[in-house]
Amino acid sequence: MEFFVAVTIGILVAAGIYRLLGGCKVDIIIGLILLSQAANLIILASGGLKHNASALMDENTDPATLADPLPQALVLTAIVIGFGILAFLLTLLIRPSK
Amino acid sequence: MTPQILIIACLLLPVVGAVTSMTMRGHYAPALVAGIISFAASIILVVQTAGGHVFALHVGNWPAPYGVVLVVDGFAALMLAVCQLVLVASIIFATKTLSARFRRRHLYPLLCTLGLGANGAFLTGDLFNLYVWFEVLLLSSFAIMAIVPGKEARKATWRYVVINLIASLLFLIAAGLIYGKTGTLNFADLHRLFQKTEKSFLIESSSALLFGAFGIKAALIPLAFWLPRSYPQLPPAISALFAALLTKIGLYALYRIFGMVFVFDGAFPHQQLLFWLAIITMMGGVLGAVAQNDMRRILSFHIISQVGYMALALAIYSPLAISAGVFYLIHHIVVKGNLFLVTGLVEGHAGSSDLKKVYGIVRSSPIIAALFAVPALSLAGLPPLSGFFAKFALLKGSLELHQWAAAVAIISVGLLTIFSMLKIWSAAFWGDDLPETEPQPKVLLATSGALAAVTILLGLASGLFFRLANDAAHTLLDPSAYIRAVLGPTNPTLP
Amino acid sequence: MDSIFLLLGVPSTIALLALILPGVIRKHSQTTGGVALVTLSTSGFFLLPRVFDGHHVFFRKEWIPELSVEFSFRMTAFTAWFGFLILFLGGCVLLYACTYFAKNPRLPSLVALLGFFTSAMLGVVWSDNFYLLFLFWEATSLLSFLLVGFHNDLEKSRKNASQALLITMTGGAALLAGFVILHQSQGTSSLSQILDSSPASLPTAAVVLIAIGAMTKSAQWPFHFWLPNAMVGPTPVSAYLHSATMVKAGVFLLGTLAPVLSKHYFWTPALTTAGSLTVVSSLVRGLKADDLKTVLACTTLAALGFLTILAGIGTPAALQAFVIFLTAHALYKAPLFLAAGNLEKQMGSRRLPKLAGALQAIPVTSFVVIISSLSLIGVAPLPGFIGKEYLLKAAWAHSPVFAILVALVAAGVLAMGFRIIFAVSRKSNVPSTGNRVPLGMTLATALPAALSLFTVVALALPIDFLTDAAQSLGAKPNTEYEFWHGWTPALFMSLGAIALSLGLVRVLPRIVIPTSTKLTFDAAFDVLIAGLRSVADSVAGLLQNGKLVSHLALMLAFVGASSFLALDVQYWDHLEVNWSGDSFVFIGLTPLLIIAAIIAARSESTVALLVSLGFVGFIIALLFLWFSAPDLALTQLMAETLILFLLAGALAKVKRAEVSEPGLFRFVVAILAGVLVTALILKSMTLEWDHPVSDFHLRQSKPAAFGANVVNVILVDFRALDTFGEIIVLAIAAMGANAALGAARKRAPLPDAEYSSLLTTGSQLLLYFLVPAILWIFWRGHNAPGGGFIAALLAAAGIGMNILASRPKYTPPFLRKASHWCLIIGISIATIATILPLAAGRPFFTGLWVHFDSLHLGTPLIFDLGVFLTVLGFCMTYLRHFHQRSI
Repeated sequence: MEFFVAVTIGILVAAGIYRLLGGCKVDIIIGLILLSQAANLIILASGGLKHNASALMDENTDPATLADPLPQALVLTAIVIGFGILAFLLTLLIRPSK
Repeated sequence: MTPQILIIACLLLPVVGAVTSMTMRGHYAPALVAGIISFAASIILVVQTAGGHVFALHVGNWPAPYGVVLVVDGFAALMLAVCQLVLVASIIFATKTLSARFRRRHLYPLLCTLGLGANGAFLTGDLFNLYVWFEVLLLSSFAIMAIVPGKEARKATWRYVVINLIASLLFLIAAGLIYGKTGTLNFADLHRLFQKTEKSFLIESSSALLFGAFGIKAALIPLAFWLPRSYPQLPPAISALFAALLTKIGLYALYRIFGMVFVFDGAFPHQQLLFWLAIITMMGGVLGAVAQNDMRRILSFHIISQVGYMALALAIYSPLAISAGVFYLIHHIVVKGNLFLVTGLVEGHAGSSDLKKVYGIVRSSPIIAALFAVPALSLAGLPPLSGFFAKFALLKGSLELHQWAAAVAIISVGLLTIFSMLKIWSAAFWGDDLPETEPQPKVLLATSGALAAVTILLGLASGLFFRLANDAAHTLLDPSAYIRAVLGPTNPTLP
Repeated sequence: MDSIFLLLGVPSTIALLALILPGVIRKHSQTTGGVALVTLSTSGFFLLPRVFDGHHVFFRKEWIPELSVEFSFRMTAFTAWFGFLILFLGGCVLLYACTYFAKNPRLPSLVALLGFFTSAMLGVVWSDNFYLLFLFWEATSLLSFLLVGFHNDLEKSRKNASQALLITMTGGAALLAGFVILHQSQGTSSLSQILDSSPASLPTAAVVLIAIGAMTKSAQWPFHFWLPNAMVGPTPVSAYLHSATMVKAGVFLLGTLAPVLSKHYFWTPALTTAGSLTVVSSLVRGLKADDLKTVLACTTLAALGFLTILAGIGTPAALQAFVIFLTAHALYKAPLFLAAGNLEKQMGSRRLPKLAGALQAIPVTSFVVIISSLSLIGVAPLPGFIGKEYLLKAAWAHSPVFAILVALVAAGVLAMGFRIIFAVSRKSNVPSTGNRVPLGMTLATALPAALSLFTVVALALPIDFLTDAAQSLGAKPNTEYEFWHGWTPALFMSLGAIALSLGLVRVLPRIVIPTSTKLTFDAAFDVLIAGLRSVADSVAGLLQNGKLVSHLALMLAFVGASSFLALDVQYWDHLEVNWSGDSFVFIGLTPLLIIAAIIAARSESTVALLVSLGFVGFIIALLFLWFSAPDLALTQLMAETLILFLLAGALAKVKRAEVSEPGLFRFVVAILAGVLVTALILKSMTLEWDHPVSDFHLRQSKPAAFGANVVNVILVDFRALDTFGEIIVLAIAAMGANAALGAARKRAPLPDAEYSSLLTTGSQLLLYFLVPAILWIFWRGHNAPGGGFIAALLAAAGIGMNILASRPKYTPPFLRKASHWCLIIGISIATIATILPLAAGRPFFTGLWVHFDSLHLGTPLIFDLGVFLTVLGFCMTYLRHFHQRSI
């Protein structure tokens, strides 16, 4: 499973870099969107992946069976920050040229 | 006042300043007041941390490394103080030199958040938190750059934004990978971990990414392509702040991470790499400056070459060199900021910063000439100004270890710096009288004069300041006090 | 402390006064000059007892102990005498300057510069610490630059001053490096300790670098060409630089260090060669020159050459010669230069042929010129005579052949002296054309010459005048200066040189010296600078020109390469790739993601782009969901939707430029990056490491932070500071939109006809329906997927619908206000939530909780409310801007 995830992310990165090096502003923005998604996946993946083990604690859950919540929190912050930055980047794209 | 309260002040005052300024239609006063109070707070922190004391604030009362921790040591306190100083100066200049457009477009709140990002970056003891503050800082700088009108400015902004976003992505990926491999993000914890384990090789590839991210922010050649085109487009009140802060925060991160946290002999030869990059950066930057004919451009290129000096200090990595590096950072922030501010004075006075159009300022305004001379000579490294002691300590540090290449670079780049300062002086300040000149507001002259006075003070009282830098360097090289402050006297394990 | 060192501050005080009271100086310029002369020469006389008493005096105060920099001074008989010369000549020069520039409005700055310069020179002579000496050394370089460039409206003046500065500063840098190396090898940075210790072995680098530093300062070959060029400075400045200061700093250092450094094999041959070549090159330039100041500058070069030779020989005899030669030169060169100014003023020219008749027109000055020139030539009993005798004697002792060589070149120098005498004493019937020379200038010219005569008297008297001075430099103890040594080889050589020089003056008009040779060094310097410029141009081009894409590729390649090299594959046998697990989901998802990513990377059409990007985002959300991260999946979906919405709006406005990047290069870089990242992740994932931090989070979430959704608890409590930064980022992004796009225009709401009433009503209803959903999502966040951020995005979607439907209420100004206040209140609430605990006496950001049975209310919830409002404000800002732009 890990191997597939790694390859998938690699391909996402390759796509992002390819787009990034396209030369025009739209290319760069799309490249950055793809790359930041790849970055989010990298953080999640490198923290260890678990299926069906959402980090919702009950009184009697064994923490060891749950997914690591910290990378998720980091990714969440990263998504939001990336969201803000990409939105700002788009304003640079549509600035009226005087 | 406890250091913890002061840390909170340094973090929240800019927020309060920004919010208040927003409610007052972007008025400058809240930003200025917030800047002045946080400057005062950081001065107290400098006093409190002198002698190698370290104080930690465990945010949310969660013990480290489980929560985020804010730490102030000598290095952080010194950086806080000088950055706030330049911020205040830059706000004063902005009020007098920038059009209403800037105020309408939230310049002052953005200046506050820029300061917030810087303060956060200095204070944090957590890798991911550092990323967050970097983003605060960067996005503020993006937004401020976006206010500047003009086609060239737009192009420059775009380039600046894109390259810096790449750096942020690298940082983010590296932080994620490092967490994945170590399970912690806390600086003190990371340091402790790698002292105990042989597995340092695990994070070397990710620390290379981190190195790249910080290298871009610090503008090391070949990662500096964003700088020379973007800074000259900014009005001096802004470029002073950017020049003083942005690359230096990249350097601060390099010092903090590669000088304190990831210190081991591993496969990623960051020290050797940094050594040669630093020398290339010094040479490239100064040669770039020699080719320019505009004060803004010359000074922008000098940022790069000076960054090289500070990176070289880190690469040499001896107690003397690190002290020199810390002192250099402190000196450089004040001097570089002031040089851009003086460029603003020259532009206001003579109408341009183009060396072909400006001449004879020493006759029309000896005060501006003197205000230029102090930071320029300090940058070039003439005694008894601060820049001399910074370079001298670095030279001593490199000769002590028989790093001949470093010594040659330090000296020759210093000479080329003199060469280009000489060029500015003999073109813009010497010569016939200018036909039309504009007297500059007294408050601006006083502001720039205050920074010049700090430069002189840093030089004359360099015994004191070098000792502070020495303490700061000592905390970096032997972070036991840092670790004690963050993790407590006994290293906590699982609760 | 020894108050004698306070004299260092006297000239600086004058300088400061000149800066503070420029008006007084301009008004009473002559008086100022007189006061300066009296003050400085009185200060100088305080030094004379030290010359005789022979004790060394020290002063030491800590400055930067870590760098061994300290305020330490030492005074020996020699440096006291040197200090006296500096102060006395400084006084004369100031008097002269104040008379010469009496009407010049820039006189105060000249006085100030001269004052500081005098102090700096005293500092060079008296410093004991290397680095303190270096400080004053650089100060003299810098101040002399400003002095030489005093007439900076002239291009030539600027150029020559810059040249002088560059050369002396280069030497200064070498000197500093030499000092550091010497300090490291000898373990002391004190001049007197080095001199006392007489070390056995010396590092060659230090000796070479110090010699280079001193030689640039003293204009020794091959750095000699700056000195004649520096004649562009005002006359009093030249007089001072050439006589007692600046160029003398270099030979002073050489002479001081000679007793120690001459033990090194490099010292003597290098310095004697350089000194001799300097004398020769001074002859090449000076013998045929017509300009009096140029001739004088060349005689200075020659004198410096002789002094360097003496320092190079470095024997006690040579050092004895050194002291008297230096004294004699200072006392004849200053009056000669000042007289040159007088002659120029009176005769209207300073070209030698035009000076005929000077003796009648300006007798005092001409008399001074003749006396001083005789001293230059070395006619008994003037000080120059003794200097020359001792020079030749020391040279003879060193090597007779060399001594004859020295005598031969000296003949050329004497010829220059004779030319000056002949030029001035020639009679002329044409009355002079210039103005009368004021008394102050004449007095300033005559005083040093008088001192020269006084020295003769003092030397003739049976007191040990200058003996202690010579001894303190390293001459043999108790050897007095004598006028008569008997018929020694030195005397014969001296007489021979005088005879030869008289002959030379006769035949000089017929000798042709190729003019090109004297320009070589200047030209070489210019070529060097031009070369530097062209290298600099290309470097600057590399750094600032070029496409963003190629720079990006270069930077990524650099980072990628360094990361790749650090991968450290040899350790990988410790790691095992985990192939197990449920991989079936990937059989479906991964190919889809790959295809979508490739389409997104390749597509040129807007629709394909948006669809494929949306698809990529959607599949990533599914992956998040699959890997137990429901919060991430939700956030990803919402954020992705909003970004695509904005992107669609932007793409509709933007014309895409044609792309002509070479596909292959991009492709290769992209593939390599992908492979690298894959490897990085594999390396990272295959490692099992304890995660104590998140274990703590999982365990403490419920009991200590009262939330079951650990991800949310981390965000609003464990790592709330990150979230605080994050909402600040969003607020900045919102302000950034305003910064980039400007404030909302006060546009009237769109006409009624343009929107459908059905849509309006529908969207209004939707918003009402959304409210409970938003509240629910916000509330459950702490215990289940949800939270302030997601709730805010949902609310934003509702508002977005209303904007699209153009409800009359949602005008741009309304939205602007609403978003503005949302941001302000949001951040304020979040901030208050962080400091409330402080009011309750708990640490910053600590959660304060109120418990009602199973209901827990606390500050983290208030914080989350701040997040909600900020995100809402952010979204509204962007919706407004992008909506505004797209209609």
